[in-house]
Amino acid sequence: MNHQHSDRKSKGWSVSSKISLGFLIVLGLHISIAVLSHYGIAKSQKDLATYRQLRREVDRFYEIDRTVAALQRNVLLFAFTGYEGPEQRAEELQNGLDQLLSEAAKSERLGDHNDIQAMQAHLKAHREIFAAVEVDRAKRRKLVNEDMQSHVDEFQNSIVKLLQIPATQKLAEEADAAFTAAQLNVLKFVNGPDSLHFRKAKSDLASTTGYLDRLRKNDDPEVKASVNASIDAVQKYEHAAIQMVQATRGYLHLVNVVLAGESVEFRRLASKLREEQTEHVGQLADSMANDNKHFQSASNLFSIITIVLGIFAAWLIGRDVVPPLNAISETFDGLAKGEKIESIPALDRHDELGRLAMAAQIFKDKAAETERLLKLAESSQQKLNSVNRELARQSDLAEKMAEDATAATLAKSEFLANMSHEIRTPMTAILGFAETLADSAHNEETQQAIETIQRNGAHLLAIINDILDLSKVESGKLTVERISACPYTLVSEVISLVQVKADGAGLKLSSKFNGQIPKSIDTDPTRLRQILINILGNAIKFTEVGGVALNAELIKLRDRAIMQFDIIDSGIGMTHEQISRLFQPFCQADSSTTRRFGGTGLGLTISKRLAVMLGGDLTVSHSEVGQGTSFRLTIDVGPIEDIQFLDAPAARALGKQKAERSTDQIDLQGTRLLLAEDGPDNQRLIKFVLNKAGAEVEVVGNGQLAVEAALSAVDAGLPFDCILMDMQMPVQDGYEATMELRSRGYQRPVLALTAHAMARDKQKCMSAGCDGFLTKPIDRRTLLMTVCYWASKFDKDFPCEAGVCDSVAEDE
Amino acid sequence: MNNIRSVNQPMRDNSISRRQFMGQAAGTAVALSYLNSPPAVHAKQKTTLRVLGTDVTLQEDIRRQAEQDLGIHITFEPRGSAGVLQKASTRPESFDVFEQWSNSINVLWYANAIQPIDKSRIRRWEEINPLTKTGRLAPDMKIGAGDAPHKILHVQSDGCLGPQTSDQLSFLPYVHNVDSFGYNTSIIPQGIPYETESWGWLLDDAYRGRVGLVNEPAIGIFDAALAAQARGLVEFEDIGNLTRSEVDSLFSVLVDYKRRKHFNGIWNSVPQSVQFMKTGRVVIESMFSPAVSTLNGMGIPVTYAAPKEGYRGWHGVLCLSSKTTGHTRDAAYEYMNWWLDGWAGAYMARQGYYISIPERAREYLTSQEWDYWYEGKQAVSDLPGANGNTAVKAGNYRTGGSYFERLGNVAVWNTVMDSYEYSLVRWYELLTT
Repeated sequence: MNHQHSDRKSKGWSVSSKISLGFLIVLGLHISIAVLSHYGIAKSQKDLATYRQLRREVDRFYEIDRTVAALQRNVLLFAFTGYEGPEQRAEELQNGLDQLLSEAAKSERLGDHNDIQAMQAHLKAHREIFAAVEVDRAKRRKLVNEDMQSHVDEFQNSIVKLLQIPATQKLAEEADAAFTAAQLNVLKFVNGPDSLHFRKAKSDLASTTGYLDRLRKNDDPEVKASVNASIDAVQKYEHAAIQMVQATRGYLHLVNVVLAGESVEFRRLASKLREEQTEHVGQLADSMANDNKHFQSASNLFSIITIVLGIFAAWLIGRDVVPPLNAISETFDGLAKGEKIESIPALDRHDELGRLAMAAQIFKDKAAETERLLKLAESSQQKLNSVNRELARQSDLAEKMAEDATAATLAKSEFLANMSHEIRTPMTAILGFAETLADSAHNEETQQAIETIQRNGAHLLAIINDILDLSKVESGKLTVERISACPYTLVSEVISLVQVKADGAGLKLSSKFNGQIPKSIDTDPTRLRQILINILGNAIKFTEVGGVALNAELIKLRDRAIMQFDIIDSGIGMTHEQISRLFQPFCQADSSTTRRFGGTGLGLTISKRLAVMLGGDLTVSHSEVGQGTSFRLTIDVGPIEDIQFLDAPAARALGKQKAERSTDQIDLQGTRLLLAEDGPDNQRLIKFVLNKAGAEVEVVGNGQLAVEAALSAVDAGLPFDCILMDMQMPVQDGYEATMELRSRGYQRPVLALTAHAMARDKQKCMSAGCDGFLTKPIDRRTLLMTVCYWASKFDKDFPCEAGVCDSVAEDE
Repeated sequence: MNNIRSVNQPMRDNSISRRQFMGQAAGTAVALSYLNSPPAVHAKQKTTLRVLGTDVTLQEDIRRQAEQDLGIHITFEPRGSAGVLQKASTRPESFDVFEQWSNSINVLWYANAIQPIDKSRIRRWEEINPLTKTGRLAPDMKIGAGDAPHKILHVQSDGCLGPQTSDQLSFLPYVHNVDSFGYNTSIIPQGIPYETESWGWLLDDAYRGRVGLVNEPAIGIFDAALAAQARGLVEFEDIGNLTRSEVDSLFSVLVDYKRRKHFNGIWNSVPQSVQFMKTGRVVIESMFSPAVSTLNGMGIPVTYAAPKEGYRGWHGVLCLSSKTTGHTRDAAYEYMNWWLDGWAGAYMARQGYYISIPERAREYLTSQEWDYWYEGKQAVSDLPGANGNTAVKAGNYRTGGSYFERLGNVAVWNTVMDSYEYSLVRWYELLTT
């Protein structure tokens, strides 16, 4: 019951309290042992000191005893001899005793001891008595040696006279004899004190006096005087003898009784004290032994208690602390390993183990919570995974769609390219023949029909080209290049190209350079030309009365050279709203405009984008409805320092040439040309244009034939001045044919003809060995100028003024 | 000489304490009557009387009372017995009156230290009881051995002291008493006075190591002799005057006992004897009566024995210095007479001492006091001592009985024997063995 009770109670104690308490108890016991040992040792040392002190005191009392014995001997010796030696020795011994007693009195145990005080009193008495003894002894000596002797002498002197007188002789002799007897008895007493001797002496002295008294009857005064003197001497002698006897009795009594009694009592006290001290020594020794035994026992007991308590504490810890600790450890291990723990042990405790158990409980709860959350997370993860998969799928889809889109774009581009080619090729024929028909038709109705065909064909062709360009721009496939170009030539060409329209619209078309004219600029001349044609065409289209002017000027913008073109018309103008929509694809300023003016609505969009690609911009600088519109085109043409300007004569010459060339007359008289073209329409159209310009044209249907014809002509001594090679032909295409020609050492110009109006097509052609590049549908003027240029290269007398601007051939 | 004096110190101590309250009124009355009495001494004006003696009688109360009664100046010089005797015998000019015990009278007399007292000048000589005059209180009493007071009282024609009546006295008889031994009844069974109580107990082997003697040969030798004789160890021709061989026989017995450590101590003073008994050092020892009173006062049951062999008696002596003359001698006579007038006897009676004219003392005692102290009757009430404190509890008897009984059983009187000097040597031997 008790045990359970205490166990229950002990659960209220913290483990640290229990362990602390246990250690405290053991520590306390250890300290007790240490203190006990210390106390034991200290006590032993103290006891030992006391023991030694007592031993010394015991020795002192032995010394006192010996001294007293010696003192007695000397006192006795002095009493009997009267010698000074023993007397002095006795006094020395008394002093010695005094010293010894003083020392003994200093002892803690004896200082106020009655016996010590008694001994000191005894010693004091002894001193006084001995002093009295000395006095008596001295007095006795004096009496015997001096007083009594002098009285004897006095008696002798007196009695001598009486002895000589016959009358007194007899009695005098009696008296003398009696006195002598008295002296003898006194001497006997002196030598051996006995009252009997003195009583006899007194009796003798009385006899002496008696005899002498009888002589007093003698009348002789002399005798009388002598008798009286004798009697006086006897009386004095007796008195001295009595004094001697009393002194003797006195000191004998003092020595034999009083001093002896003092000594005896003194020695008894000394002996008693000595025995007491000895007993103390014995008791102390016993007590020390006992104490040692007790300390040993106590020490052993405490040690045993300490050991037992230590073992008990260990057992308690082992029983009360370790199992729950292990249980909790195992619980924690289990929890850590994630095992299922049904219940936490020691939860009912209020100590550290209880708190540990509580922690384990919390751990367990947390683990359960964690597990639940994990499951939740897993399901979430699964959801996420499915979402991810969906995303991936979507992504794949998107990618695929992107790929599809890309493919679609490519397909569109391909489609557009193919479309443009496929459409432009027949359009070339349609327009070419329409033009041919127009030249030969004289009937007004026919003429109008042909013109309608031409107009619509041209429009269709423009739409196709625009769509083609826009698609290129949008697909990112349109690239710009930066090559050196002659701005003057470029402007001239553009003007000449749109001049027809302006002429047709009855508008005045003018161009001029403000400021210095650059020799050349770095830009993409094809695109620049395209833009300018587009804007000028646009301006012409929307101008009904007045004219269109193109003003060019090179301006500096910081360190860059900017070519600025202002295209000013006197057309219908635009509202701000119209301007804001102006550059959006397929959006003309006004929907009504399309109906009124036609057009694809792509021109300005393409132009603006191209301008941006060329490092500049296209903006409406001014527009007023009914008054006209000003477009400004800027393009970056490279660093300002790279710009070189034409000198004044060159500029003037150009101005002159411009006037001439505007007549549009190119003469190819005497020129022999080979046309390799598989399409019969194009064979005829191109042959017609070239023939019309005066050139002699031989036509072949494929590359192989072209190679043979060219080489045969060279062999025949009548080589062609220039070969026009269509790149897409049956049997052997233009690329292969050109390469074969070059491989065979053919050095005369070969111009590529292709419907692929793209930069890479040109490069491909050049790589194959072509010298120039012409795109279908064939622009008649371009065709003639290019042919003229290349033909004249080999033929110095050809009148083409290619030298003015070297870049012309390269541009086309 | 302190130790010598201290032999009787307790007596003085007792008296000092007793005298403070004692007998003032009674004394005054007596004194007044004396002032009116015949003028033989009244001529002396402020004579200074020098009294040498022991403190048994040299008590301050007595000195004051005497001065008051006599109209003279008195100085007391109390000393120990040996010192007193030594001074008195060698320097008679240093005192006028000497008070001691009869055993010193021979010494003083033969030292010519004292002068004969004129019997005619002792007014109450006739009243003095027979003890001193005849050696016994009644004719049928035996006379104690040794110097019984009558043997040394009268100056003989040859100048010696002897029993023959003469007109000259060596001393004036006054205070006297008997001594014996005391024993502790808690150890030694109470004996019957005069029947079983014996001096022989002092040499009983049963008490070996617990026996005490007094360190004074003139006294202690008789205690020892009585004891030895009682036990039949020695025979003495005359216990009052031992021969040398008898002394030798006695001391051979005593030394033998001493060797067997029979005697625990030989005391030098009354306080010491008290201490011996009080501490249990001894259970039986020679004692003076004041020591017994003191011990009984302490509650220690000590009985003062009434030995069947008889007491050792002692007699006080009042002597006149051989050098005192004239008015001083007149004053000395007055002082000696005053002692016998009764007041002093009553004062001493309350301390257990007897006086030579008991009837005069009786006038100053209550009947209870008289009955107890002198008659040996039971005390019917508490009796005061000399100092006024209760000295005797009601119901007690004085051991040994009445004055007559006690003084009728004196075996020996304190005596300075002829073998005195020799006994001193043997005494030394006994002490130091």
